[in-house]
Amino acid sequence: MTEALAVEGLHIRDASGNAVIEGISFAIRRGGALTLIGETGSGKSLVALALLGLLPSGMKATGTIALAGARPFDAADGRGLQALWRRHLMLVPQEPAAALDPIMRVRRQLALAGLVGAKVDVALQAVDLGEEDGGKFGFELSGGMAQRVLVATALGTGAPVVVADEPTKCLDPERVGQVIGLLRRLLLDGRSLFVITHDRRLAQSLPGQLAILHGGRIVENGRAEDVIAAPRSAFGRAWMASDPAAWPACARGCDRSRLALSAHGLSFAWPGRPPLFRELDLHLPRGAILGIDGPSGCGKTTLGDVLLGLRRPSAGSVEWAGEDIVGRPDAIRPMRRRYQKLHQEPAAAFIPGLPLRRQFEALRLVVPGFDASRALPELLDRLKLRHALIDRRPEELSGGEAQRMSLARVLALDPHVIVADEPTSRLDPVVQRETMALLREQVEARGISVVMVSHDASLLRAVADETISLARAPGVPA
Amino acid sequence: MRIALPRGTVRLAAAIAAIAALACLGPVVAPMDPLEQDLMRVMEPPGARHWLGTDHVGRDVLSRVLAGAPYSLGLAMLSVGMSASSGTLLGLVAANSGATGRAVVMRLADLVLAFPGLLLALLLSGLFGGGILPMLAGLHLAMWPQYARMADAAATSILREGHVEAARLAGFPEWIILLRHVLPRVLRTLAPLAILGTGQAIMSIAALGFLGLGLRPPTPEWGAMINDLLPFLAEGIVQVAAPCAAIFATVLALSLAGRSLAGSTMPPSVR
Repeated sequence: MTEALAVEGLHIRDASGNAVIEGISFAIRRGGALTLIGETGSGKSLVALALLGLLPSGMKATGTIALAGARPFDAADGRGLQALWRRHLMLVPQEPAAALDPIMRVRRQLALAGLVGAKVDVALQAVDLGEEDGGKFGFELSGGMAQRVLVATALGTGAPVVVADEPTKCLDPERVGQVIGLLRRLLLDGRSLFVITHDRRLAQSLPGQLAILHGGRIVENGRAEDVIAAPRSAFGRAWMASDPAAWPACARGCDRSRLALSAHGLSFAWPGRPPLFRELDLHLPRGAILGIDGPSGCGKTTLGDVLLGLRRPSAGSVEWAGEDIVGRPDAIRPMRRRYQKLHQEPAAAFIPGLPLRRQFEALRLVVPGFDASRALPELLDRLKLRHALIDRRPEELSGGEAQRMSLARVLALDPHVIVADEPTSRLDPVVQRETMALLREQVEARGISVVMVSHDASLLRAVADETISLARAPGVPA
Repeated sequence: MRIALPRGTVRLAAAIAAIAALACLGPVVAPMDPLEQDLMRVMEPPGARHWLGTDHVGRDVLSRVLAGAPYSLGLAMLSVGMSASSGTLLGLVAANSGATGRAVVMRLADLVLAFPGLLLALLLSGLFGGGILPMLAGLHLAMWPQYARMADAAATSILREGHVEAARLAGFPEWIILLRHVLPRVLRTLAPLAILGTGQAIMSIAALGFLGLGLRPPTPEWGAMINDLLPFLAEGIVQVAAPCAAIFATVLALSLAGRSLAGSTMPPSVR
């Protein structure tokens, strides 16, 4: 048998009996990789949990799971599958920093996985960690280092199949590159890799097979190059087209003579720290989209808050429509509602637990003449939101719906400038593309200016007229 | 956040409703006048006429326990309501008024918390010679800091959430933000504490009554009844046990309800 892992007819049902995964089969050959992509909520992670025998109680799996060198298991046999850990199967979990015990030294954590003596140093070296890192506590590690420790664990155990669940979740682009390197390192070592992700770049950078999960089935499975170059399923095509590099370029004339927002000599430093940014000048004409990129921790969000008048800069001025607002609440007040923010967390702008209709109705307190019953239907139509959603609570919406609802709320305030802080980083690629398209459409129709904060340079290239890059702030670990 | 009430909470809510009904209707359904003495029938054992017997001056114990419910329960709820309101108000002020404002309120709370709660109530009742008002004032003084602290902590974390920022950006006045965004969730956090606190207040009121510093005789307050009857324990154990059992059952029901409510509104890690 040349297959390291073979899954046959895997069905997963949730506690109320609804099918989440409807009979998927795949195989990974020895030393090969399979990347499974799909939307959030498509059940990708459940597939990984089923392989490990870790499905939440109430969920039921059927089908067979066969690992090379072990007898085939019934997918419902969670205990039998758990017995395979370490010798046959190893997991690199999501959110590495949370997966390590903060008050245990690295060496001890590795010992728990059976790594002792010289094997420890070999494993640490393989992932570019030094001997002294072995003596560090979990809390002393950055996210990137924690991930390397986890990969070292997988390397050290000699398990032939490694499952990586969303290994790049919430990482900067440069860290994504490191993770890709680590995963390739596992392949070089002859391991078979099963990677679950919704990260476009990761999926495109791993060799081997690429499978697309949609509606509980694998709609496409083939060599990664082939699937990327010519996806056959409709969902596969939408997913590939969601790459910002493939978006149509924006061609808009904007009125450069009228500035909606400008800043001169802007600096910001937290007390007792080196400045996050210094002597920054920016100009935002009406109707333009300005991109701000940079790695996490570089002060992008803080810059957005300074531009919105939420934080006072250490030096410099911010002008709204030509009026300096730094330290002048009286200048801010009449224009307050015109300068708005789209939050990274899609539902963050809404009070949890309160039906959205009531939250929209409350806007009449700040927008003169706002009548929710008249304005809402039109607003929802324009953002392609079902009208029934307005009677739900914010936490009952999907990420994409919530972000469009937040945009509807901001548009109801009739803004001149929107600071969008990573507005689509928590969304799936396909939803990201739809949301961005809607944002652009609305912004163009109304002549709204946008400051788009993102760590995704390709996204900014696709949507922004101009981009400012912030460097990594001194003293922030990679 | 929708609160899914577990079945246990529903049952306990029914128990509390029964206790509250008792507090309102107790004096009405009491078979006899709780103050009427009958010196011919002192310390009579339970019988057909007096279900729980009579006390040392011949008053019907069942009637006194029933008539005492509004004093013990009503005063406990009143004192908790007062402390929770003023505590919430001060907590919101602390959370919303910068470092100096918070320091003033919280150090004041620390100062009060440094005294054992009952001591303050004892002190005030002792100084002003007992009665309802000094007792209420003492309990209020002793209990507000815990509500202020909790309200401050809850409000501080809610004020950092995205929807508060969004409301500020939209230009909502600060008092509307406190009222709409912060207060409802602070109250939801405080509800279990207030229910548990009611149980404690009943005990404090009974303790003050027992020490002769609470309500004045012949008011049928449960703690004072125990104090009155304790010397006659040998002659009538049922008569002493009756008010004890009333206190025990009420406090137990309130404690279980409070814990159960806390369990349904807080994440598992806090339970």
